[in-house]
Amino acid sequence: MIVTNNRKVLAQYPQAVFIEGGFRDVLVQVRDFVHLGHKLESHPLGASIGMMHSPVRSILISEHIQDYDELSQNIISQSIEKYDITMGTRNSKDDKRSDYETLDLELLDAAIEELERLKKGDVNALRITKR
Amino acid sequence: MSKKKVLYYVNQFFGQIGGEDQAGIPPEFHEKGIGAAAAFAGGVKENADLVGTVICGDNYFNENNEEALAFLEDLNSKHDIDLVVAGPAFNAGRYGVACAGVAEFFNEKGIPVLSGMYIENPGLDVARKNAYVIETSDSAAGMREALPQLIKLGNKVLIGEELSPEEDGYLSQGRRLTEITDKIGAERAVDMLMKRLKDEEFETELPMPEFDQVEAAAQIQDLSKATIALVTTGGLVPQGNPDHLQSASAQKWVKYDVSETDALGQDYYTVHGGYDPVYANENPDRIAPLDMLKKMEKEGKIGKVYDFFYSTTGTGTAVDSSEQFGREIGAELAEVGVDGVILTST
Amino acid sequence: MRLELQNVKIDDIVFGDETTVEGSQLILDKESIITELKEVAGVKDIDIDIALPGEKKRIIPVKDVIEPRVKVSGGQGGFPGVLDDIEQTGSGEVKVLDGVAIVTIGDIVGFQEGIIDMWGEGAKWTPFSQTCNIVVNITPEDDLQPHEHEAAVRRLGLTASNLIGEAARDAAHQETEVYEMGYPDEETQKYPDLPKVVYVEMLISQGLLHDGYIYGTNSGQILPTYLHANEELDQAVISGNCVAACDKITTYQHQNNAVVKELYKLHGKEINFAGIVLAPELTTMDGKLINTDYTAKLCKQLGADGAIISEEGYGNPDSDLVMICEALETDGIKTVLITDECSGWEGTSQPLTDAKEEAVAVISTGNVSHVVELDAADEVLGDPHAVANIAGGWEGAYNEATGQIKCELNAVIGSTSEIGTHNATVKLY
Repeated sequence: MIVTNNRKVLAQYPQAVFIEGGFRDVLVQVRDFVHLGHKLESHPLGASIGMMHSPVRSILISEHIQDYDELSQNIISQSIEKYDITMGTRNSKDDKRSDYETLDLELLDAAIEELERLKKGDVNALRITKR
Repeated sequence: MSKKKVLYYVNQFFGQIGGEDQAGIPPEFHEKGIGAAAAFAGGVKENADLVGTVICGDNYFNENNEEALAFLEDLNSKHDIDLVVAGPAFNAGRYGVACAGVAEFFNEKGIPVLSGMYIENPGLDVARKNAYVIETSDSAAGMREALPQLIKLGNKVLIGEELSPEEDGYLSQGRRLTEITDKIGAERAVDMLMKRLKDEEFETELPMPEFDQVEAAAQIQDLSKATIALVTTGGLVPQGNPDHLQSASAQKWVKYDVSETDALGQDYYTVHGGYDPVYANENPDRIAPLDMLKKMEKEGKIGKVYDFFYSTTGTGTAVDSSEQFGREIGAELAEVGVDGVILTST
Repeated sequence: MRLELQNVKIDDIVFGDETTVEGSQLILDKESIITELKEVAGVKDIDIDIALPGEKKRIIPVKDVIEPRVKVSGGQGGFPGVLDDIEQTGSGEVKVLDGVAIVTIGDIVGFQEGIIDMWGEGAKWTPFSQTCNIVVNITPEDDLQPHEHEAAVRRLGLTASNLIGEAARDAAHQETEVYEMGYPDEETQKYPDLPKVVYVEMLISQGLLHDGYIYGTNSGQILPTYLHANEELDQAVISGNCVAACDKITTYQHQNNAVVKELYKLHGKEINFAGIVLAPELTTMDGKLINTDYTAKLCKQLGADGAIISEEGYGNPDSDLVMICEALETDGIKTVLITDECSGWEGTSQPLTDAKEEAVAVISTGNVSHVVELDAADEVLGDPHAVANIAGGWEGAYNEATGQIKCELNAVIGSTSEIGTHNATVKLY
């Protein structure tokens, strides 16, 4: 399941859970899903400060509710904390939104490919299909 | 050039007014050094003059914070203060918290503050971020060691020397500043690894936060026979806040009899200063769900809701205070045979 | 395996009629170099500038930094698997234009970071203010897809390194660094009593602008792998990572990996340096878990007593770092981690949110949020507009009237290098 606030992702993956809001809103929604028993499939944060300034973010979580996952819970809590510390009082770089949307989509595609590989091609487990 | 000006803050006890019975006195200002203030003034006389000594009751400072700070504001505007000394407070908790409040107030104005505290003083967390705090013993007997350290530190601050915790003997203020060093990171890493491999002492450059592991209690076997207590750090109190629970940096916990009511409802409200109170005040049971617990009690899902509801304020409260509150509340609940606790935070 | 780096010391670069070395001066035939570089697929136009230490020049936005070299014996050299035929690297004689760096610049997407200041306050924070820089500014062909654009820029930098490195072939070298080490069983026979140390080098491996390559293989496609230390020093690993200016590992930093060089100094004396485990930092949780386990297993198979673990990037890689640390410590391998931290503008926030109690020995290479004030440059090489954009969302960070910039270290190339290439650290006050 994809949780995103990126319209370019929604256009490619119409079944994504779309969030009206910013990066932090996506994190908070994912936290709520984790509380319900979904598991993180991809890490909530990017790999650089540059991506932390992004106005958009897409995160993969398990399709079905399973047993409460403590690692997912720790990671999403830490991620929200880290996001707040790193951003401080600044705003995300909204003027470069379109470029961030493109890169976020690229990185999501890479993450899905990675999962396909690790889950032996059983990507249906995630029910992620690209338009 | 005119000499710099120092203000000294003490509580009722160190101000030689009296003990616990005088803890409620409002602040008073004396244009002379009283007790430690006089000795400090003598020690820094080359660099500064003492404006005077403020004496304030610990309870007064903590319960009438606005008035106490207004008093300091007034003094500051009249005297143009360059340095403030508050304490040392040793292990006196409320005095420590008052010193921390004084430090926070002047630090915001860019005026340096000195203090001294025992390492477990509940005021230390806030004080060290806002002042140069030296570590003292846990009782006033440590005054003889503390004063010379404060004087030395005070002189350095007054002449504008750069300070560091190791060299000047104050507790770190928690500011992590980036600097250029002689050795590159890779060399430092290999040095550190060699020390580890040789079982020598080494010092990490990035200490992990302290991990406080609490072992979970045994599972409740039969909830329908269990007594459950409700405890919150959400700052909920009866209307009027009869016990003066602090809105931040709590100094106490409070408890109220809820045996005769089905919900907290509008009899309660929050004094918590760390979150938007609108939804909490609309329905206080959103913060501490007494209504649901009582319903479950009626349905037989739980045996009994304990007669008393416990509350304190989580925001800004020192970890040491929280631990103390937890131990006290826990001991009380264990003694009356409570089986489980619902603990809600905000 | 024996690798000889023969350093041809250079302290000046000028343009001239022929690309060659005279004394300690490198002369560049600009037009011929441009003509050859324009052959790289996807490249429409090229410009080349020189930036020397002390000049009031600012370079932005930097993509990669590469040291120009040429292999003169023991193999064909170059970048096998990327530009050149496949061969194992790590042995032979290599001539190095020591003191020179190729710096590629140009926008790929609109939010680029990566400043090198050659003078003043900014110079203090990057190791690349001390190199004589050949700045290659790339204009791509129209309508390139972002990943084609990225590949063009990456290949162009490496091509320039090969091309300009040729100038060293017949030049006299003033210094020789010898890196010689057998395979683990041989070294263990030689030094049976020395503690074995493995270097775990983490690499961002997550997709566009977030990749690393080993012999041209995208590190995101593999499980953690094992390298001889010499392979890293001889161009087996290159950067495809363009976003994390302060803490990415540029190709130059791989070629001169500071951890490898420091461990080599002690090899056979105090330690038995058992080689490098390259650990890809993947983006999925399963990826992180498998790579943590696999890295720990490789270290155990190598019989490690100790390990240095270096991170690349900030954010999700912090999780890999502490997970690998936990796994190694649990297996009885003593670790030292190298990472940067984010403790806010004032340095008062909790620096590491992914904390594990096993991480008892950590080197901090600086607070990425540390604010620096940079004076106006006489000349901006690259895109002056990128300067304005660098600290986006932060009012007054770029003063258009004076040209001054107030920015965080995270915008400065190599400032908080997590392979410990630079001198920044954090001290508690």
